[in-house]
Amino acid sequence: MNPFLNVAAKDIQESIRSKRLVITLAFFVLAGVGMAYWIKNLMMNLSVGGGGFTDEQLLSNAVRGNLLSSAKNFLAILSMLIGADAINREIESGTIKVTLGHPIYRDQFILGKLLGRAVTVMFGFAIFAVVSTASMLIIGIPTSSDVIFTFIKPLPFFIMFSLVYLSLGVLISTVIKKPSTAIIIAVIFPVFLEIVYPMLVSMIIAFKTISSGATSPEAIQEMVRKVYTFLMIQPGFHMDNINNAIFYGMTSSQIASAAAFPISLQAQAPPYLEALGLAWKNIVLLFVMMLIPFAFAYLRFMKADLR
Amino acid sequence: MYAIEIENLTKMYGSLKAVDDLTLNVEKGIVFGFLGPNGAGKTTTILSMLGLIIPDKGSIRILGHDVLKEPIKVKKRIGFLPENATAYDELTAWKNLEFFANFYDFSKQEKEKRIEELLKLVGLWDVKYRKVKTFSKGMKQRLLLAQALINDPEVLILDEPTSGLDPEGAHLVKSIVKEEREKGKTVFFSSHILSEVEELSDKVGIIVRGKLRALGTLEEIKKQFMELEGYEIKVETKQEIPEIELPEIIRIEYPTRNRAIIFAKADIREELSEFLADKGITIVSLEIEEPSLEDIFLKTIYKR
Repeated sequence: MNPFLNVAAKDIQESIRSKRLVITLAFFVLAGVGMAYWIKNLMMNLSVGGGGFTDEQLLSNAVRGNLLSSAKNFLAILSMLIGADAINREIESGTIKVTLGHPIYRDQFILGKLLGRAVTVMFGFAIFAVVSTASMLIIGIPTSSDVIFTFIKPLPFFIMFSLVYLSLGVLISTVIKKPSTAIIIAVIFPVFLEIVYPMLVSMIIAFKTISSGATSPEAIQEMVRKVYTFLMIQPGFHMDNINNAIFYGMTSSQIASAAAFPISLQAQAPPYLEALGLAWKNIVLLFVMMLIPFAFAYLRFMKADLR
Repeated sequence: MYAIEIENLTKMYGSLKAVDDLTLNVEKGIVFGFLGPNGAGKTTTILSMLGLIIPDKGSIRILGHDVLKEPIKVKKRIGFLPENATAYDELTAWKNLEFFANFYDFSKQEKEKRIEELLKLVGLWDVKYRKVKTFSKGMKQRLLLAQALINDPEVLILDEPTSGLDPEGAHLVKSIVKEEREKGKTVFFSSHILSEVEELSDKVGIIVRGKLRALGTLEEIKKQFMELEGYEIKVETKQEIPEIELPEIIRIEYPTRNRAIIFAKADIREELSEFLADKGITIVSLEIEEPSLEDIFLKTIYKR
């Protein structure tokens, strides 16, 4: 067997049964379903005239938005968690010395680890997608038939997005010697970058704009532009842009600048290629974000003394 | 041709010289014991032989191939048992060996046959489907020994192979080493257990603070040591021993009237027997006290 595939297959066998995968999966499925249920109740209460909820397209889009957001956070945390002990745990246990004592190049080893763990993340993602969609149907959230495409249409980009965090995880595993420390960082880092950081950036810029007394539409536009500039370093921002392009035919900035949030939720999906044309910059940036940490991890691993 | 050729190997960890200009050749078909105290540079040398540590200077060739330039050619023909390592805990013993066997060009039948042979050899056949995490330290070490033999290597490199093993396990390792030698294979093993090195090695190298302090067969090393440190000759006679005057003698101790321990610069047994015969003294015994490997090892370690 090709040594690279041999390492990947072994890694899949090991990590697919890991507690980390099961715990992260359970947490996000529960959180995702809970959030969808909450959205359903909220929209029912918001419906005018007390005649109950009627706009299924709006609800479906809202639920999809929630699912996509949950999937994004799930992938960020799971990928980084799975990647964070790829190398350091092998060094700590000494298994790397045993394996590299056999005919395999170092680059085949690290690429095999990346592939094995990427497959594990995708396996987790598949379970997440199936269980959360099924759970929504079970708890009676009305969804349109195209909800099943929620995870299929942006799948290549979800893979790319998870590889960004997987690469970051592998980088951490080559830098931090202790796997337990690396795992803690692997939880904190994506939570900060995907959840805390955008909130902080938005709050600080909004506070600055408001405190300067600027309330004109131009000033608000400028504020939004500033927020998006700061969010360029966040992989989730690019993933959101790609999702918005695929499902609503608009990028996040177009949605925000048009102040068209409710409209966007009702917008129809454009043809797939047209949507990708809208978000090509985000796709390129995600690709670059995936390559840079892995390149560092690769170079570090190739030159490291494996004691 | 040598099985292993190490030339001017130097490795620094910060300001610490772990291996200092080490040059060492190991002939094919012998068991080489690499002896040294903890932190002497044994493991650094061994890991450099596998390309796991990249040396600052020098080169290593195994079976004629440079380990850094042609790592796959080297690794296809060697077996390696690292120190302080374990197999993959979440996999069974069988799955572990299958994983390592997949790096070689075995057919499915060959692979299964080889795994079966090795698991039986190391006494793990009955627990082949148990996860390694349930194994004792000794069982894990035996599994590692099995993986080192998976490709029937020409050169077997073992780093502290009996560490953590019970007497039965240690006996198994020793018998495997002896068996490999009988098959004409080369075994390079590091140890700080003197009896083990003495029992198994055809040739010994002693490394201290990264430098090779002694090299040769056990006999050669003992001779080198005696030439440096002096000879200890014990003599017992029927009559009282007279005062012995020979130019090579450093000093003499007389434990009893008819016994003497002579410390000399050379082996003077012949001159001594002539001297005593001239005096009409009958010799009961005259023997040279060979230093043990322990004596040599300890003196080598503490010598600056």
